[in-house]
Amino acid sequence: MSQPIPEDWLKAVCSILATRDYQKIIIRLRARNDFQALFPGAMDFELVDAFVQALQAPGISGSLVESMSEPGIVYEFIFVRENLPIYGKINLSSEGTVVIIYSAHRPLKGNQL
Amino acid sequence: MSDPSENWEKIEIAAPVYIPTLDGKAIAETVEVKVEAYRNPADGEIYLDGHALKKLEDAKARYMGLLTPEEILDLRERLDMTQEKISELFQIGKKTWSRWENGRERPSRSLNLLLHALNDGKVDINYLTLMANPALRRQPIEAHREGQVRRTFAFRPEKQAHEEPIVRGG
Repeated sequence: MSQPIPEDWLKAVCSILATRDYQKIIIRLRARNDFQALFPGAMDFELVDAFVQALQAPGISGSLVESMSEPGIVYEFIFVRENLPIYGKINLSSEGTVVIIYSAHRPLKGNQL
Repeated sequence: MSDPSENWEKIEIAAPVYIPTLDGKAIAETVEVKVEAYRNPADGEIYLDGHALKKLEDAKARYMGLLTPEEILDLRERLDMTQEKISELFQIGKKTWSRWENGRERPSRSLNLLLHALNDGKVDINYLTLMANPALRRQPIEAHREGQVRRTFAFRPEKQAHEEPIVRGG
């Protein structure tokens, strides 16, 4: 069930992604490859920028995910880039210092989470 | 890296780099670039950090023929210009030029052509100055127009007898 994503989580994730700190951003290879295949003209870091833009959009909603093995708080959500809906899944580590981007692909269940 | 990856294995992978078609909408070519990555032994998933991502992005830029951020900075310094001044010449925002230099953004392929031309000495900086200043730009155009007008009058042939209007019928 989609619900507003907590402001604290959004702020913490966006502040890490916006810095492009190489030590604090981890991207699952599948997410990077999926995004590049969807937007071949995009440079690699546009994936990070796309997530910042998506998470700063007013009223962004998503669902809490509890099945990932890495410690932290994970949300999944759908956002639109260049008129394409994209499924995203992000982990903010328990310490709030590292962001893992797990997914960036076309939604597999229509436009629902 | 910190906590989530503590137990991951460091490995080397060949990651695909998709080189786009000129319109950027499709993949023209795929090349593989070796980067360091992390593998979670629990599920076999592979992860990249920012360093690997930058290496892949740089490789893509090279294959696309884009100037690197370092080359863009070097170009401006050779021209002895501030970011503000050179962004005026390119008719872009100062922040855009700044993002090109720090790698947060890449120039479009069209602007990259102009950057290359300037970098290779094929376009003169004075020409860009002229093009960025409408007042300066009008002068040569107007002078050119005046020249054309003068030539038109100078070489206008005298009317010949056979060019006189022919009145038909009546």
